[in-house]
Amino acid sequence: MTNPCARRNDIFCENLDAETIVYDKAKDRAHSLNRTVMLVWESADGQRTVEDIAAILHRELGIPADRHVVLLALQELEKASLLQEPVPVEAGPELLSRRQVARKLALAGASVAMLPVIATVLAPTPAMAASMITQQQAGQDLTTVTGQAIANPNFLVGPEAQTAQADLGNAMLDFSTGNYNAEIQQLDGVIQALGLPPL
Amino acid sequence: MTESMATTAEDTVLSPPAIAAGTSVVTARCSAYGIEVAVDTSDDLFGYLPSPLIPPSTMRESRTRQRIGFAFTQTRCADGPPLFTVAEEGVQVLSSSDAELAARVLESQIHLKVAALTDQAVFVHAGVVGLDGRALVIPGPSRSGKSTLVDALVSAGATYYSDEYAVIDVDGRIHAFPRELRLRDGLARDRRVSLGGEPTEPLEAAWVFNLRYQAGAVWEPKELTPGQTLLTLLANSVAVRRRSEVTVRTLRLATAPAQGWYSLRADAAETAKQILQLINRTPGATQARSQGHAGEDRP
Repeated sequence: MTNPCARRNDIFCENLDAETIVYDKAKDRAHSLNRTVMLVWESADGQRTVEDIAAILHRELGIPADRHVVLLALQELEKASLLQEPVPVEAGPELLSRRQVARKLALAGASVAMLPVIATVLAPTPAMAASMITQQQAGQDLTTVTGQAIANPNFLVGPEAQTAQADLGNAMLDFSTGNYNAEIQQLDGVIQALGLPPL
Repeated sequence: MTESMATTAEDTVLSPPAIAAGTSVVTARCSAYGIEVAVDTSDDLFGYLPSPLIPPSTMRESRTRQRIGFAFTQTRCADGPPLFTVAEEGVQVLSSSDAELAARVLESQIHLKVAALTDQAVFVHAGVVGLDGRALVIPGPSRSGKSTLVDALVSAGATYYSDEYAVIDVDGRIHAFPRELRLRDGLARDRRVSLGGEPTEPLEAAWVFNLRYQAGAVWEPKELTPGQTLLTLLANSVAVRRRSEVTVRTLRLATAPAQGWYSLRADAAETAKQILQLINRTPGATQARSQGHAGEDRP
């Protein structure tokens, strides 16, 4: 097994009290690493073995010098794309589940809070941050409003018929071009014109 | 606290050249957060524009670094209703037969552009209210129920700060973004609620609530770690890709004194009560940390 090596290019860190925020500019993701996994990431320089890193965890955090804790942390780091190379560990006796590692820590008197944990979010684009409307939701909303509009007598004749028809047509056009925010606004127009129930 | 209360957003009507023959064109301008926005429109559509185009800022104004142009126009069709079009830098954003609806989209686009381009603050999609001189922040994108929840909290006695953006300065303080509160039930245009246009003092964040609406959901708040709390805001930050290091640093300052919570939620009025009960039961992150039981030992 080659020694683990952390990926550090296009990355910056911000330290909190007990966690570290690791921001990956290349993948536009932000991770929150707890102390255990952060120490593994910092120690993974391609020179140190898993056992070396386990000894560092023992020295710095007081948890048992157990390679399974390091392997679990490396798995988490690999999922977060924070390693240069995947850790070549075969499933089986070498890899323990999170629950099994937690049990080992507990039996050794260590806090379960020392289990390696990474939380990850995608850094949004401005448009993504602005709206949570997905294609699926936009499609459902369009289907709902279309069904209700067609069943509504005011859709064909009535003071707001032209407005409702135009807005529904525009909503369909916006949906077909992937402009879901505009589509929802158009559907709001149909709802208002016909007095339909809100989405 | 804040250096000064400076209202910087100011509309000015100029006398521009006409866009089309026979059409009287006016330009509304507004400058805030270092961004100048200009909207070309016609006399008869001017009344639909939000006023001011950008909510007043409590931040000190600096030089305008960037300008952005919008157009809000009307096309008359012989055999159909008139169409109202919103364009940004000459590119059509929306066309609708409903003028108010198009104006609303224009307002959202203007605010989003300011949020994305400014270098003066970090804009996070969030509802914000003030409680006992501290900020309660509810991050979430559009249609996540922020406005309804902010409305319910204001009805329960909180101070309105924003139902669209938490504006965070370099020291991590939360500024108001006081546009008229918009609610999505029925159509928001008929439910505008004005809640005072005066800028309010920036506040330190004390609580961040990451809430997900689900009909019939049971309120089961789980405390977030400081890292998770920061990520909750980062996931709703408008310009994080362009200004990642500044954003992360600013959010660290903003969330340092705050306590983060996650829960599913149902009815807004009920959720507001549950939030207030929770806040009254818990000491707040700053006090909790000083007593030494927050952070790494959380579940």
